[in-house]
Amino acid sequence: MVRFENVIKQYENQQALTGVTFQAIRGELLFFTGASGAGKSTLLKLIYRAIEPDGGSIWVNGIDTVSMRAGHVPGLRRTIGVVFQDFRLLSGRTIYDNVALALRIRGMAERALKTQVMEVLKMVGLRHKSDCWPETLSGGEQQRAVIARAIVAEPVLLLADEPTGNLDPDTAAGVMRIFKDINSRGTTVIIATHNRDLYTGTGRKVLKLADGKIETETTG
Amino acid sequence: MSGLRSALAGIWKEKWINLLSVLSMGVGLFILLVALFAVYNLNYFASKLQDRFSMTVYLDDGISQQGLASLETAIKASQAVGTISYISKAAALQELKKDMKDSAYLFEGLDGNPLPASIEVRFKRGSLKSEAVQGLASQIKEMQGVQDVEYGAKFLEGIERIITGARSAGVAFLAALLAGVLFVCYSTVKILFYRRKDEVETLGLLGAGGWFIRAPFLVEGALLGLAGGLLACLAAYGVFGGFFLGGFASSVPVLRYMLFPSVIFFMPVPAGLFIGFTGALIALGRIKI
Ligand SMILES: Nc1ncnc2c1ncn2[C@@H]1O[C@H](COP(=O)(O)OP(=O)(O)O)[C@@H](O)[C@H]1O
Ligand SMILES: [Mg+2]
Repeated sequence: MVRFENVIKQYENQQALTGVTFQAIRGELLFFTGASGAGKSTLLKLIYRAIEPDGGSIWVNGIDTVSMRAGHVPGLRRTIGVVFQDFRLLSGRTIYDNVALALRIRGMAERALKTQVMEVLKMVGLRHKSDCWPETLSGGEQQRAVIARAIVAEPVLLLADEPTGNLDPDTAAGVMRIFKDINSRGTTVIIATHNRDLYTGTGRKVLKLADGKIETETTG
Repeated sequence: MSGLRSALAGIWKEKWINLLSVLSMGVGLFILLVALFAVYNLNYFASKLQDRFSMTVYLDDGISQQGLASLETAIKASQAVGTISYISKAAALQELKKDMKDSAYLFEGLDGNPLPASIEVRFKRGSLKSEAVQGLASQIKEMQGVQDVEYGAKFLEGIERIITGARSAGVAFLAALLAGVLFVCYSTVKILFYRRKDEVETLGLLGAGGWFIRAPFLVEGALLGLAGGLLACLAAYGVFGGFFLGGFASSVPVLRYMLFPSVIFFMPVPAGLFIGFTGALIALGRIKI
């Protein structure tokens, strides 16, 4: 599903990834962990091609995304759902419209998408907030709205960057249940988190990043 | 559909910038309209002047009926010639006498008719070119039975200068105005685009294609242009309808003869729409998404 081979990423004067090799197979749910600044977000951004690597090879859905033509990038991104660390909710659009956007981008008709949007909003406990503006929601509510937008189109790959960073433990557990649920329906899920509680006891693969490399691979 | 909706939302969100650009486009389109009227009327006057132009072919007294017929056929063969009419010696004298009624004594001692018969040649509109007329004149001059050919060379050159002058000045001015209006829309959309750079970036990360992202901006540009066009149209209606046609025009002789075809009145609406869309298209064209 996702394969990195010796991937290097360098920012102006900062070596973020110094050679990362890993593989996430179809249907897997795995975690990336590591201290703040370890390179978790960088790694996820490379997968949905928000940034390009300075070395190494990346395959997503069997496609070599390093040599991929720019015109094919939107198509790649439409197979992926992303829970952005910085949310990226669009102001000036209601929560409903923010979530519906993911389906509109994929060309779904207005009539068809309504039930799907409301269903997902209910799943994350935001049904009553569908007509609200993003700014009026709490941090935790915004985070759940972002999760709703990421999963509403049932992507084959779900990337979540600190998806529980703003949530209390109970809500965080609820969000994890949603991810597991999605994963059990066949979506490959990759979660980047520094929250140990999220993966301990899950029995899933946990890759720890340090110094721009995968330091250890354990089971949570 | 969602393109239209987010375009309307976008217009409202940035209403002051949008109002400003609608006003500038409206003013620009209004000036364009006035310029179009001016060019249209200059052209119209010039073509009316053209109608007055004729060439006179003076004939030899001894020309035969047959010679006249073949001469007429030869003149008519020219592409530029519209109508020709034969004026006999008698008719010419009649005409002269009528013109000089007060000096009838001049004709008293007249023995015979000194005036030559002639053919008056009129040209088709648009075929009236100095060179063509000159060429035809010298050609006719060589023909059998022709005494002389006369036409107002200076008059013709004058008309030509007016027409080409009005056309090129008009075209240049209209092009400059169009470019100005286009630029207003271009920069408005560009500004709006950069103000929504975050949103555009997010749309891209969510997998939106270039046209999905551009659509609301294109709709927005087209709507702005349309609004500017309607504004110009309304202003024109107010000015021409209320001010010119109601009283004021009749006291200014030139205005009484001017034409105000309604097609030109409505021109700013489609023109605004087209310019707005094109301006937006150019503004977004080079943007990397
Ligand atoms: N756009 C950027 N420009 C420069 N340096 C960056 C940029 N993004 C991240 N970095 C640096 O790269 C390193 C890895 O960052 P990041 O991937 O965000 O880590 P994490 O998500 O694990 O906290 C950090 O040292 C960070 O300062
Ligand atoms: Mg991060």
